[in-house]
Amino acid sequence: MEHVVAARGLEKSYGRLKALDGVDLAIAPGSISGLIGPNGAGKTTTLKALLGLIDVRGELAVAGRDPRAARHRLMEEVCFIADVGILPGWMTSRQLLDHVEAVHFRFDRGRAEKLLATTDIPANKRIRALSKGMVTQLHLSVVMAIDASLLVLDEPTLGLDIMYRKTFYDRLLNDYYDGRRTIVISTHQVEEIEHLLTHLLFIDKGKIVLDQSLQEMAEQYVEVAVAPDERERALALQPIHQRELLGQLVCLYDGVAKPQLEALGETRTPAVADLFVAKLAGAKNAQARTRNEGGET
Amino acid sequence: MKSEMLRFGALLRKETQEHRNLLLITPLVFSLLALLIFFLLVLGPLRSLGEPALLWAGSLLGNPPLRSAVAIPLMAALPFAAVVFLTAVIYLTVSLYQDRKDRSFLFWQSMPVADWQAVLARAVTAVFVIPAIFAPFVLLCLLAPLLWLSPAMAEAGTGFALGKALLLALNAALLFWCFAWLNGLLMLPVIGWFLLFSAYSRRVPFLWALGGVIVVALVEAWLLDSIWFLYWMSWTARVMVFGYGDVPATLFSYEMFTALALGGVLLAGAALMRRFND
Repeated sequence: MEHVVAARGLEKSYGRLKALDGVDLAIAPGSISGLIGPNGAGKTTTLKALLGLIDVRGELAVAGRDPRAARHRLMEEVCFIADVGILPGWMTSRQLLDHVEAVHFRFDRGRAEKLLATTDIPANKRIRALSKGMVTQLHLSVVMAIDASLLVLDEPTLGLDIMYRKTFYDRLLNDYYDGRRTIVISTHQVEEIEHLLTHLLFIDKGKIVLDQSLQEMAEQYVEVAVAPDERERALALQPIHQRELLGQLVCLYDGVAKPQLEALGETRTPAVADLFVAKLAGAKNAQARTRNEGGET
Repeated sequence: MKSEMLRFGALLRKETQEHRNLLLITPLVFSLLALLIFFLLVLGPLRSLGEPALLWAGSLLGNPPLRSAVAIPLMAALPFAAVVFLTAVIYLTVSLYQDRKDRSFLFWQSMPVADWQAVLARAVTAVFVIPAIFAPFVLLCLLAPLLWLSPAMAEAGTGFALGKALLLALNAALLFWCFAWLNGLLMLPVIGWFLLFSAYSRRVPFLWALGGVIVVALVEAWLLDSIWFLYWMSWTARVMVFGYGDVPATLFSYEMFTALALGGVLLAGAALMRRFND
């Protein structure tokens, strides 16, 4: 199977800061991947690299092309929404449709107009006069009317209220995603996109720390709400993360057999946000251990 | 090919729409001011002086053949050339910089338009579109006084009538447009220079561009002990003001070739800068 995104050893530095430190990616067609990481982890840099907006070292192919060689050709197959507010404020939504229709040969104006008809966005009002939510709706309508194979979303709902955020993802899933298209989403609001995702990519300090389908994740990681009398046994199994929830110990395990864990308490698949915290905390602990060991020797 | 032309046409239209205040309101306001001043200072006194003045004007405009007579309205349109130049400089300075300032840059980059196409659209706007927008205003500004004068001049028996007034104004406006883009091509390095700094600078691109000129002149003087760069600047300025000469000769001159080559390099630099300077 040819991957829509295939990257190997991507590296990017800004001065002494390594924004990408050997990033490998293989995104399958038809998947919805969540690129999740803390601030400054390298999410936007990764997405910009995929879109050919920055120069990076390493091997990279997106939709079969090298974005660094011909960004404009790539953009015939790839759509992109950055955080809200990148549409030109001086344009009206009608002028925007006119322009996209003239420059993008895969744009279906009729579809865009149909999508816009379901919103309150006036055709002759300047974009700068629209609310943040309307601008995002407008951008999404334009993007959904483009027959692209890959859609890249970088914090697309940043700063929007919960109604707009929910509408955004509902429309994305119901009116755009058809199982053939590939979507890559980067966001902080993991809980909102968790139900959409088929694939997880965790990034921290420019490195991919988890690259798994949700199905694989559910098989590998198990969370246990430990029964009070099983605490010692639970800790002995070396959870990758533990926390107290309403006085009960909750442990997260990596690769421990499920029957063994079921004996300790109630088991469940961890939420993406919990796994994210566990993996990042784990990485920090491992770094601290390495530093300490280095210091001792 | 046709679709690429359509795409490029859309880029030019977008430039005009985005900078409509600068590109449309400037010639409108300047035309109104020019007409007002011309009527108050030239035409009013000319008519009040009566027949001798009208006969004198007729000897300049009515008697000579069209080819010679057109020089006078063309000279009268000279202030427009200066305004075209200033408008183009302001436009070039802000055009690429504005995209990054208002963050719409990311949206434009999400369209299948190459950086060189985006930069070329700006250069074409400066060289051809801005003079084309100004040309009808020039026509109106020349036509209005000539039409106003023509009945009185015809009455005074100068041989200057409505038909000649129309021909003169139309010829002068066409020549104005023609000389304007010709000068624009000669100034392609200046256009490339401003676009380069518009794509590069994080603030005050005009000062960066101006500072760049000073630095290049100083570096040339220091390293090569020459002032070729300053000479070229003064030559361009001379052509701009006094260059209403032989169009084909200018078009195929060595200076034009040099300007296109150097301008091309600077435009390519601006495209590269746009690509990597987010």
